[in-house]
Amino acid sequence: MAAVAVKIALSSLFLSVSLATEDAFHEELIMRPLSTGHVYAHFQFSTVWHVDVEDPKAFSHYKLFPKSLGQIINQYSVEELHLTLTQGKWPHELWGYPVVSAPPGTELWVFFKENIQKSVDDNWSGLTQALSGQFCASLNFIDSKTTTSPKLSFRREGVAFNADHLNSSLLRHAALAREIVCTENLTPWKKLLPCDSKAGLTTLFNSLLLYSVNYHSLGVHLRPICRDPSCSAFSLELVQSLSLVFDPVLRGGSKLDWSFKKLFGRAIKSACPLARTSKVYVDISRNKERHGLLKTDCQGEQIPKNSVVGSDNKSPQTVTSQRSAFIIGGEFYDHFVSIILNIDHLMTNHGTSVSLGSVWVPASCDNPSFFTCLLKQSGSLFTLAPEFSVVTRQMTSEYQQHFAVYDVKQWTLENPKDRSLNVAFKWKKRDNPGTPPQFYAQRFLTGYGEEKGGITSLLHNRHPTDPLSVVYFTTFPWFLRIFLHTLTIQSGGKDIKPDIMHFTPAKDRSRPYSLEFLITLPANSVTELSIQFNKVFLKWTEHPPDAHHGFYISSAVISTKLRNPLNYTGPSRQSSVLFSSLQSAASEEVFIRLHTSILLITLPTPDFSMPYNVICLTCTVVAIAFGSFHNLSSRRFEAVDQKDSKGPVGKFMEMLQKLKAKLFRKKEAASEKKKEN
Amino acid sequence: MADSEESLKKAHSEKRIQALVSLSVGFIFILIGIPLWWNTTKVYRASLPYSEIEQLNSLKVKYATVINVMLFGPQDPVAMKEAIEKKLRSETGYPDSVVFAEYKVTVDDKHTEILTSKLSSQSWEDLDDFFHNLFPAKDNHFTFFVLPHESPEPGSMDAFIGKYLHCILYNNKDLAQLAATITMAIKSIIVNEEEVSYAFSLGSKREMKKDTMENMTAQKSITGLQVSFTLVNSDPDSVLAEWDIEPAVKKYLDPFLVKFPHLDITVDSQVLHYSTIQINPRKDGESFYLPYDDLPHMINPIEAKLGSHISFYPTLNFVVYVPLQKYTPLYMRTKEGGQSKSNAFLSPQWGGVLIYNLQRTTSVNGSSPQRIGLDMKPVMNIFLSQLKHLLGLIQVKPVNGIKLRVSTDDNSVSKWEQDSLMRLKTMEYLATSTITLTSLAQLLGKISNMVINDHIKEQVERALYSITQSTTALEEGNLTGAVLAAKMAIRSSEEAFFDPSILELLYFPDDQKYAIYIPLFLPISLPVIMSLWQALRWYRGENDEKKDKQD
Repeated sequence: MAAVAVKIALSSLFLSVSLATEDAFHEELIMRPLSTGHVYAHFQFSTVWHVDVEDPKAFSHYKLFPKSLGQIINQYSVEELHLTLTQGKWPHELWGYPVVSAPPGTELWVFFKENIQKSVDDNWSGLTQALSGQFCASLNFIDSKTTTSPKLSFRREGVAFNADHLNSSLLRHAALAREIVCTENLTPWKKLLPCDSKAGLTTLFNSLLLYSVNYHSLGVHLRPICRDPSCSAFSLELVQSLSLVFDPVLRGGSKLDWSFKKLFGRAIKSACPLARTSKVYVDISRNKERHGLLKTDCQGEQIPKNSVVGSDNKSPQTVTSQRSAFIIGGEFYDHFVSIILNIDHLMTNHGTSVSLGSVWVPASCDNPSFFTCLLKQSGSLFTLAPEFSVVTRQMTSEYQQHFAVYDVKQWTLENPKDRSLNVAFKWKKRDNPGTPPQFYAQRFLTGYGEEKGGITSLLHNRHPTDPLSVVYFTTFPWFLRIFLHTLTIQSGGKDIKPDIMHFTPAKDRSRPYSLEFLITLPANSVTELSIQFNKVFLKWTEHPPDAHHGFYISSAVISTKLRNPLNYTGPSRQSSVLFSSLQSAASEEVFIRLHTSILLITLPTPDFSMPYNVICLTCTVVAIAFGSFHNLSSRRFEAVDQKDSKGPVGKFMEMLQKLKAKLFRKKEAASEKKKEN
Repeated sequence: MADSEESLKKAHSEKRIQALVSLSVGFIFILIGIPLWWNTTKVYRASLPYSEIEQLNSLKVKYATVINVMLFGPQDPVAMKEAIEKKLRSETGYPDSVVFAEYKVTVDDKHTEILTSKLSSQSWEDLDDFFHNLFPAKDNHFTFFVLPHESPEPGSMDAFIGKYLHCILYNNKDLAQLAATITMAIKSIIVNEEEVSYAFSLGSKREMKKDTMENMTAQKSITGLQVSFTLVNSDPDSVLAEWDIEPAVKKYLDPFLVKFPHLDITVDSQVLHYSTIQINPRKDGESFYLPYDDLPHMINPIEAKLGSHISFYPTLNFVVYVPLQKYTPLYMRTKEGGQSKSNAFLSPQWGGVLIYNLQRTTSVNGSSPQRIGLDMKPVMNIFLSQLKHLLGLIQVKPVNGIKLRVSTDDNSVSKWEQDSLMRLKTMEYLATSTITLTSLAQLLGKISNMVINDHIKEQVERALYSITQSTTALEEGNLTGAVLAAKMAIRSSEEAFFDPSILELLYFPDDQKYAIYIPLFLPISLPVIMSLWQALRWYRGENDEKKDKQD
């Protein structure tokens, strides 16, 4: 017996060791109902490869990591790579923050290794060619005209090997707003996954339905990470993400309710056997956390001091916080957290599936209107089936988020007969539109005509008390002549001076304008940035095939750090999965990158049949000019007496007369002959 | 009267001035305008060494081999040398043929009593090692050791070629017979004249020759290779196949690949899941089998995922296929219908496929797939023997007339095989680079608006230099030098041929160019020519007047 036990212990020890040294693959899906009724689905597939990142020779034997991509990044000495292919616009003011922000079109930014073989620019152009073949995207249109090296906006997301990690000389960034994403990009992207689309969460991918969505974003993110907490060795992490925003109404049935079968046309059939985690998360925070609604709807209602509430009349409890009797703005807010904490306490006592409405019954009350109001609001908004296993919460110090978790691996084990997992979501009542997030931005074109124009951005900082520092980065193609002196940054009529500013002027046909600055937005304000430009005549060969469509200006990138933002579920810097543990600690500040919408401008477009006509016209003008000069220099024009010389007309007339005379004489002769006869 | 004379004079001088003006304009046009236009619109064409490229068409390759014969028997070395040389000369082709073999024969007498006793009663393999230790082989020297004693049994083998650069023979009293055996061994096995000249004429296309099946197994004229191992695990739901490829490559493949210095070889591996062959195997009792005709169809469904496009070199794929559990065990059938022993097949120029049957030992109802490791030794042995074919090593055919045993191992390359492969590859490289250069020169001569950059010129010159270097190395018998120089030649010539700048102006034809010029040139040139004509007429009239006056 003892021997067996030892054996088991040993084997389990061995297993854990082998798990630590082996490559890992995780698949995760987050579903979030948005306040507009849309559904946001974010797939994240991460592959961790325990390879010596700094040794190019180590990149030859592949297991879970895709070989085709590994060879490319090795060939071009890539340290970190971020590629997104996106269609559709993400309105932050309505939808909050996505897990990974991406601009419409294509964005690629890459950090190269320091001990690079050729020059960074050579590797960059080689890499774009290789990636365009790999992902069937027109990345080969990335050239020096679209490439920049921003100094502040982009930082390494993984481990930085060199001490001088703030140096942006190894960074290249480019965005192609014109690029369209389609199934031809999805197929090679799927090929990089170890299970392809044969098993796991990818079985949901139905190309027909994946592209009839409001927002579609494919991403590939590669970074070196620490293999263990002490960071003695490094690994390579490849995160492939796919973000979708569905409109459930368009999927048939006029309701906003949704299920996997409705959105994707199928259910999850199995977990990828190679995946270490295979989980689906559904954001159910709105079912629990009601402060936004209370703030608007129950404002002004009086909350009784020392009020006692109970759950199903079983155990009466006191509201622990006694700070305020009035629900006014932020002060109410503190009070409400205490109530939430009480709910949590109850929930841990009574199991997880207890919903808020059934628990909270006011026992005694000085002012019953508050609790009626609370009750009315706290009835659950929606139901979710099937039963979910665990509720994880990502906590910041003031907010909680609640996710229903489905472990697909366990699900298939527990339901061996009907393995398919179809998560169904039903609204009980229509959700109110949510509040816009703390910070968001918009951008417009201004001006009219074909000569001049301007671009205006509005940056909204909705925080009531705190100013916000943001880095604004934008590029303009060389054919818009940007005038830096026209740059105005105003907030509430007051000028704001940028704290740091980097500006690189363009070079015609070789370099774009890039403008990057750090500004501080005052609290609760809208800041307006505007800049003017002149449009340029392009050469006729420089116009794209569909010239009248116009030219895209890629989106501006705004980076900032937010304290405790709402609706934010981002990947953690330390972990390669979205949720590394059930309870995650409060992170004080979250880095957020926003992309504004892209702009389309029209440039003066020539008639493309013109070149030959122009050549002919100019040649003729030159020839006429030359001819007259030549005549002037080689001839003398003198006044001639009209009697002496008849001029060309006279000569001509004379000739005519002679001819006439000849003809008539002949005729006359003929008639004479006749007469004679 | 004086008045009219004056005006006549005035008119005369003015005509003179006019004529001079038009003449000078004309001359400016001809002397400055036309050369300026010509020079600014012509394409840049660096001057290539056309005559030297022309000479490549009649390039003759002479390769020398140094043959050492060591006599441990009582023969007379001088007579032996004469006999061998005579025999070699009589059977060698004409010295003016395209590929010509030349031999430098030396015969040493090593007849000593001590050795004689040592040499008796040892097996071929022991003797092989013994001689290698006693007379360490010099590069590019092939040695024949003639034993002091004769073959013990009359019917057995006369000679043996082992792992090194030498051949061991039994003695024979008949000197002519011994010389004949040595010459035969040289000509058809060690140097293999026929194959060498065949490789050159096939590459240079000077004579029409057809490829044989055996010849097509290896890719022609490549200077590098990607060797790619793929484990296709078709059923990860129940079995997770795993392999320790890295140590296996280090142990088996690396010592093998060192012997191909003319190729730049990279090795990589990957594991693919859920890829299947998409052919349903047929059932045969407990096991399943794939008929011979179905084997080619195995490759296509897998191939889409094998590719990697990062290297310019061709890839050799070696695929280990772990079949679906419901079709396990799976076997291949040979052409004749029997079960394949290795359970593997080779696809010429592409690589090899091996079916590796893994049987799940735990019950299928268990949750997670079972992890099973592969035994790499048999796998690598099969792939090594396939690789040997795919790299162009020719199997030794039995030669009529001599009884000779050649010790060849499927998984390793002996020194003489390596030398013979290098000789073949040198020929192939040389032939290909000459034909690339000549067709480049032809093409550039034919199409006049192709750009020739200095870069192309450099490459062409480098290729020419390397060709001469390689041929001189061949004449000296330096094989390694020859093959490396030939590799340089083929690289440079291909780089010149496929340079993208060549195509830059190809699609701008002459007629369009003139259509654009005509609106400018016609209106300008007409008045210039007319006034020139006028000026010439005036000049002639002047001359006539002068003549009249003189008269």
